Amino acid sequence: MSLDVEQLYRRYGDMVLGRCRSLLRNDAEAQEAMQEVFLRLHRYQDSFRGEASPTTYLYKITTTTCLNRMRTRRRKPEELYDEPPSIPCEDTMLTSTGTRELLQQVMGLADEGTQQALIHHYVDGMTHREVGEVLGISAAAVRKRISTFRNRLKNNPPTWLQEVDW
Amino acid sequence: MSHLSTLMLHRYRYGELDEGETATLRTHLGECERCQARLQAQENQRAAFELTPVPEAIRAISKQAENRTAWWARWQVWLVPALGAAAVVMLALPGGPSTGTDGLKDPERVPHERVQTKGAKDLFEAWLETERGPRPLANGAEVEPGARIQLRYRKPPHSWVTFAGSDNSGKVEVYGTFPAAESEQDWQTVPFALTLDDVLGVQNFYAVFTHDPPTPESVHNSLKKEGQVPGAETETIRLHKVR
Repeated sequence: MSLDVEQLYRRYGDMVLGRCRSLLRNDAEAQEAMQEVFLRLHRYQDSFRGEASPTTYLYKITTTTCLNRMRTRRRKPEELYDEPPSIPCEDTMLTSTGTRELLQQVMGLADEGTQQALIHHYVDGMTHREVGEVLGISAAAVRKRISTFRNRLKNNPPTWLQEVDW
Repeated sequence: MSHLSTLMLHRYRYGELDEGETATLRTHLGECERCQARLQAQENQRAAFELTPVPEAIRAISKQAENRTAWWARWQVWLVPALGAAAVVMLALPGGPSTGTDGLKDPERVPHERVQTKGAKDLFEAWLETERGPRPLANGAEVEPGARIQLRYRKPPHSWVTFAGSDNSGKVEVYGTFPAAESEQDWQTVPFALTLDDVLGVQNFYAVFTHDPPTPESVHNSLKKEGQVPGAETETIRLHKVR
């Protein structure tokens, strides 16, 4: 039995689209990324069926999809986007500017797991435990990754870090 | 708690949090203007999203899977279990009186994924009968009193399966014990349907798989005390009855 992707889209599409807009900051690309997420969902539906939280699963693959697109952008500088989305996404913990600055730094890291951990922690406001649950690693491992990243910023703290008050 | 994560706010909107998590979250929202504004932003985004048409690429995928409900026809051959007169959840026969509603608070928001169950994957699922055909329910889905529910389970290695339910009051009802594999089908349809009563709040359904038939008392007492049955494989589906 196949998943009814259209029903899932109607239910979760707003979250997926909002997430894509927050990370990609371009409406057209966010729409493309959103469709890609649901296509991936259809393709890998067996793993989706086993998830306790459809929301968490979709959130995770949306983040992965957006990160993949951002990496592609880095290889194609002529296609860099930096437009504000037509519908602002105000449910994150960083401002749009702060998110952009953080993403620029995060995309310079080699490890995708650390990239995701930093986005979930700083942009989404997740605790170490919550990040660990999403990524399937321990809270201690998340803490270590974030701590290592912050230590690198000590001598030259970025602007976005001033927004972190939680 | 400093602030709620963006994901937690989404899970709250989608009804995925349990009672304790929901209460904690609501307490925080009552005290935190920032998180209230973030939740409102998500709800505004939802409202805008609902005004947009479904992309053709999404529709195209769905059209590929239209033959997925053939099993529903097997509702015509249900068995009739013995029922308790004071059932909190009424068991209904196929072809019985219709509730006249599809039982959904918002039919368009019901997802189509299988229900995740305790400790195992893809073993026990709930479907809602609607005028447009059966719809699968996500764990934590909201349904209205009077909704007609059909349960299914994947054929287990066990010989027997016992079905039970519980609600907000903590009362547990054991519906009956049946041979676990009535047919050669991979998915077995529970030999009765359930019509939800009007007690609002959480409604749990349990499938307890055992190699020997348990006594109703042992299942009742274990579920009431622990939410599972020692030595058996217990799968749980949780729904929320709301008006």
